[in-house]
Amino acid sequence: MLIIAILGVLSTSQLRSENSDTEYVASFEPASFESGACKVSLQTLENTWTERNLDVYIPTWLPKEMKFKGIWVVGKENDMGNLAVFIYSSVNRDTIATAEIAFEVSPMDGIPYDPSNSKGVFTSINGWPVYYDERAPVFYEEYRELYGADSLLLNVQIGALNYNFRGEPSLTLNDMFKVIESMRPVSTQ
Amino acid sequence: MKTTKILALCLIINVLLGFEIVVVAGNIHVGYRYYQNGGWPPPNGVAADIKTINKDVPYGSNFYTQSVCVWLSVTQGYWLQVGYYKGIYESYTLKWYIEKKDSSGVPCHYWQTKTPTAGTTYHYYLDHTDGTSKWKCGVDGQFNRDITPSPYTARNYEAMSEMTTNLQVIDGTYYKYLYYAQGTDWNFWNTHYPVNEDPTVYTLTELYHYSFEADGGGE
Repeated sequence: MLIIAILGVLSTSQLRSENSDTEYVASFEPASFESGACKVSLQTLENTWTERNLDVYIPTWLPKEMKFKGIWVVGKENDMGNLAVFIYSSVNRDTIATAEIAFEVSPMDGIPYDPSNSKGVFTSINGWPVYYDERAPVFYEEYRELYGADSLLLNVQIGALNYNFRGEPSLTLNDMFKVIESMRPVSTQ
Repeated sequence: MKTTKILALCLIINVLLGFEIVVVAGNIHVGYRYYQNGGWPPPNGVAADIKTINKDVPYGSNFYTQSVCVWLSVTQGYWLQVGYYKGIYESYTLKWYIEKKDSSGVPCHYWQTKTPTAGTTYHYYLDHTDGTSKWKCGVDGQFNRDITPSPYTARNYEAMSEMTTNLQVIDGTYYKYLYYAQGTDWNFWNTHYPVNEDPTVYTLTELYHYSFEADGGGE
């Protein structure tokens, strides 16, 4: 028991005394995305982004009877930014952290993963560059309580926009490939 | 056994013995989020001149930070952050830090040996102007660390005070200048979205798109 107590004290002191470029799990966090964002309709997003020559694609197929639950956009409805998060759920989970499928979309030059330090796979779907990782960590506590620490991650570049998909782990990689294969321009829906 | 495993074991033992563990959820944020409402978002970095405040930290597992942050993925919760800190991890003294959370799966927290001086304004930067997958992170004239996160491209920026409790006083908070980088040019923020997660206690004073003050907290 004494040894265990000493270990406990040592670990606490280690947490507090590590210094000068050492690493450990910390608990700082940015504000939740929803705190600095607003929910908008697909039509509003399309109208605004089309004026900026941003052609948004969305999935036309979803697994497990998932339903579209909304879009969060950084900024204000009448003055929105160029970063949007789409969320989908079959059980009415309508926050970014808890939805079964969520993807963020914003302008980008290409896939933001470097082959030299990324553990996933680079491929293509429908001719679009794709990167995927079958066990990508998620750092939201609400997500971890529901699904565990990891997710499926698929990143796809379609034109000027980059889409980063998160799928909860009971979904299959094949499900997520089909979601991406089904991406079509909003303007054609 | 790897250090992380030893640390995890020790943390479990701490829990069993009832030792105080630093686990904080639902922290409070006050500050600005950047958003680009025109064309291409500026992908090459963010910086801020932040005045150092030195306030008492309420008893318990508490801290406050003042920082600038790059969101690398909103859906995954990936980011890079540089700022200063006062609280339980570092004996309630002011400390500089860099934090990274990315697809590598191991959140990294880099404490710096040098420390900020209360009342002094420092220039904090997360600089991606060289166009590679590397970010330069640091405080002008004090420290720098090159970090290669995965993913490596910015989705968005923010500049916030973070508090673990609304008992934390932050009077005197002053972000004098906020910058973004487009190519290799640094410009003042030209948009902002105010964030105040507890307006009953904290006041955010929006001076300009590129500058704000904040006060409040406590009994």
